[in-house]
Amino acid sequence: MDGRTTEKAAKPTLTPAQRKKRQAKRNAILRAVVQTVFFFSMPGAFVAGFSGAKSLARAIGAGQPLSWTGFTAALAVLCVFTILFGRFFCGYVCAFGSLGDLVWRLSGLVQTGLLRRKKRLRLPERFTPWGQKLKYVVLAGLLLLSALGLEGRVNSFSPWSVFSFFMALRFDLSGYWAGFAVLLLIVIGMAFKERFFCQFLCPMGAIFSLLPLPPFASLRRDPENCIPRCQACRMKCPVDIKLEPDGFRNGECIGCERCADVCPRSNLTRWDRRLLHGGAASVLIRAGLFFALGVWLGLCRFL
Amino acid sequence: MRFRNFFTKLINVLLLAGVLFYYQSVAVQRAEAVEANRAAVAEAEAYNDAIRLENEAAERAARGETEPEPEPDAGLYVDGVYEGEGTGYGGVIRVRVTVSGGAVTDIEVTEHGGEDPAYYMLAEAVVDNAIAAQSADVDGASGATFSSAGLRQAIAQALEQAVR
Repeated sequence: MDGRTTEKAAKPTLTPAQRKKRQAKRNAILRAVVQTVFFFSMPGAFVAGFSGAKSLARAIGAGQPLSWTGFTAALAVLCVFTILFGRFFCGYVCAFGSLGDLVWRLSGLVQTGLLRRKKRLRLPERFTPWGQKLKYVVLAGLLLLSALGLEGRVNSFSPWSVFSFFMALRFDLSGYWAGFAVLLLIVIGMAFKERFFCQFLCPMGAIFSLLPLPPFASLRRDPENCIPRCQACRMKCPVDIKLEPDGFRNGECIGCERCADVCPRSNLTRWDRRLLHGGAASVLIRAGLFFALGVWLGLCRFL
Repeated sequence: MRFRNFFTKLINVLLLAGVLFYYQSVAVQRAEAVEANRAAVAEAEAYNDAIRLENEAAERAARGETEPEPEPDAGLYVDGVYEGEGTGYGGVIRVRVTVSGGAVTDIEVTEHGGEDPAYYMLAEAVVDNAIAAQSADVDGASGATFSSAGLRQAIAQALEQAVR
């Protein structure tokens, strides 16, 4: 995470704070590894899920019966997985999310390293609650276009098509320059706001945040046990929420679990994290489960 | 109430599922009715045709003419097996088209390794549509634009060689 480790090599036993820091660092590395694996093996997972939603809208618009295809299956699997395990998909699997994390990290390095800024430029936090509403407009708009059968007209604007070209190592963009421009704007946004696309624009994220997250699926914070005025979890949160036992904006949580790793009192927990003593094992189990489901859905490029 | 947020969303999702379920039952019934209607119309037309042919034959017999030689059924295509290829999402798609009796009877996709499986499954509808339409000029699967375009291109290339 950062280079300022206070560990002293000579000391054989670590203080609880040091142990905590080490665990946070390990979890960060684990997350990067999981994200990299999914980025290259299943870059189309989120597009497949949203194509399922669009195909439902298209069928309803045309008055035809809904049909069970690979895409509707992907949508159903993503939704059920998210209800059971929170938005683990967003935090660890989705290729667009990982791209966002990469761009954000690189932008930070460039700003503080190359440009020698003390503090990086970022979108002020007061815009976040408003921006997060925007994705519902995107979702409604895209579903409406599908229902009206006008989706083909905006195809050339699709940043996801262009992204999927790049993932397939196709660099011929003729006819898709508009989509490339949109993708470029999104990448610029990603550089100045962590998870810019996920929280402000992603239509799949809009669907996920409308799903009911059962109490056992999400991380929860017990405010009574907090150190007074501590803001550690909020400062780490990429989507600017402070988790409550049942906060209204908890649906925005993308399940990166960095708040749980940073909390000095380990006050953000879930049953599996308690059971397995900190996130690593539960991350691996969920990643393995999703990988198996992805292969079964035909989302994996190699299997 | 604790977990108010959860229960609100749960009720919304259940309502949405209910609406979709109701829509599906209505839409399926409607589709079945349309299909039954189409079948009835086709049956009636076939019956009419049969009667017309019978009447014509009877008239010819009354006038003492002989049966006209049935024209050899030319068909659109020359019999044979043709291959074609097109560019899909992630590479080449190859097809083998079988024409027998002047009509396309089978289209086999021999290569589609570059396609993402979920998209390719959707695009496979193009194959059935092309056999039904006896042409490569059929609707692609929306959502799998590139895979279906590649399939159509491949089928079109094969059929070009088969055209009379």
